[in-house]
Amino acid sequence: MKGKKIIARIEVGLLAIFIIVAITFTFLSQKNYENNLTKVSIVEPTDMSIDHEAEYAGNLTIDIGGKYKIGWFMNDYAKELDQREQLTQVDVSNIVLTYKQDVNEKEKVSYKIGESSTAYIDEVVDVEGGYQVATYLGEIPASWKKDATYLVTVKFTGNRKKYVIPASCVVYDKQNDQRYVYKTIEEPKIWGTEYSLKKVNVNVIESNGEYSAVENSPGDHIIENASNELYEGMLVKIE
Amino acid sequence: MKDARKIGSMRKKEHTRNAVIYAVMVLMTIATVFFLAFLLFGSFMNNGELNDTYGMIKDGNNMMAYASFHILPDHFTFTQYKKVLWETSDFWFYFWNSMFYTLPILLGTIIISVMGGYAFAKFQFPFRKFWLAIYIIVMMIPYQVMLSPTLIVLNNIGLINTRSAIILPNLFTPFGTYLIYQFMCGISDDTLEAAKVDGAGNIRILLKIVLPQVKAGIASLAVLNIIDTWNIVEQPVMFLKNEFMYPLSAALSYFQTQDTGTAFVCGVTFLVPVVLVFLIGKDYMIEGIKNSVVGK
Repeated sequence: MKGKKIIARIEVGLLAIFIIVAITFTFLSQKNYENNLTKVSIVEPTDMSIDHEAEYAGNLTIDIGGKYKIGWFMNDYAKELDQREQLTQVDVSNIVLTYKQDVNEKEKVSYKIGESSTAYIDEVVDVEGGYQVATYLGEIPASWKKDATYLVTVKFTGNRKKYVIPASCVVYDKQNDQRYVYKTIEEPKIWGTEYSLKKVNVNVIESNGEYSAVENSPGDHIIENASNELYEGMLVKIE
Repeated sequence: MKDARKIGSMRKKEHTRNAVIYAVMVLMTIATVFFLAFLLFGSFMNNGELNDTYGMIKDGNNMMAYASFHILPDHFTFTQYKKVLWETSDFWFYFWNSMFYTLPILLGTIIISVMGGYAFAKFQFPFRKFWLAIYIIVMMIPYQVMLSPTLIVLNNIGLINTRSAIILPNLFTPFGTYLIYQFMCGISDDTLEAAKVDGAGNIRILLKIVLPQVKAGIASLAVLNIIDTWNIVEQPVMFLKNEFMYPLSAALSYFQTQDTGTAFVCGVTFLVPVVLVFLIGKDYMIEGIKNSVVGK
């Protein structure tokens, strides 16, 4: 009789322990689950124009009329810029090269931007593989020399694009020569909403290294940064 | 001498009969324990071993793989438990769903059954025996038969896909009322009459005199009810569209679709509370079943 009572108490105790464990594990397991998820930050594609700042190597010549002409080769944007009503500004600078010897007596070349001049794109000519672009300068700094190479910085704002996302969102699959982004798929789950990843192929039509414009809508929630390597179907936590 | 031989022959017969009964019982025990052992040991296998062992069973149509059946795991591991109970919270969510259904149903059933049983046992009202017979008849009907009518009623009153669709129909169990009725029939009417003479009302008589005497009946009803509700499957599947409202019993099929290890662990953990409840209340339960069949 006494043994039976002890066993009954043990059984009740075990049930109580199980309930306590269940309560504790419910909270801790949810915490663990959330902690183990890869944390991602998301962005939405925006309708905006991308600012460009491209650098080219230009050559200084003097044309028949005695004008100073800086010419350089561009393989993108040149035609678009030429067709615009407003002029596109360019900064032209000479490059001062400095030769130094390092501790191992190896020659090291460093350069710095010298004197600059501002002008506008005046001429765009179709050539094989791109465009030959030129700007004419009335005067040039005294240090500039004919046939020398100059740094041409073209600054312009691209046309408005509907789906612009940070360039870091776009992943390049070298094997299939395809660019893609990851977007999140929302799924209602027992504890709330679960987010899984879906790969969406994109066609980048314009980029400045910081932002990329893609042709079609990749979705609303695009992954920009993640705490781990991503893969399709992965469950993530949005931060 | 003749008598002694007769007694000897009778004893021999009895021994043989007992041996046969024991043999059948042992076989049945082995058959039952085998499945429990299969479930328990499977939960301690790692994923690789589970796939090697039950790969074909899980993938059904993958006939290139064969199940290399063995019960004891090569390496005992708690990884499956860690994965199901510690790293994700799905299991616990459904566990609390089950609790959410079990506790109100238990409480409601006890209240309704006690009141119903008291009325049938101690009140005189027209067609009392007829209504009791109806109760017994309803008790005999398999509850699966009642599913469709219940579904129609719940749909008409707008309770489909709510937790009430599970709780409300389960509060009214003819078996519970009948069980308590059987226990209450054993209480002497004279005691109740004496209490009435002393000025006690029906509620007071029920609470102070009747209930203490039917504690065992209530306990057995509680144990049977907990086990019954904990194992509920058909009603949630039929009455709930939102799977997140499923109790653990109905959600086990969801865990089975994840991976074999998860299914084993969920199966074992699902059994733990109900086995403990059974162990705690097995004596009451046996008494209750005995009473409901033969009366007090």
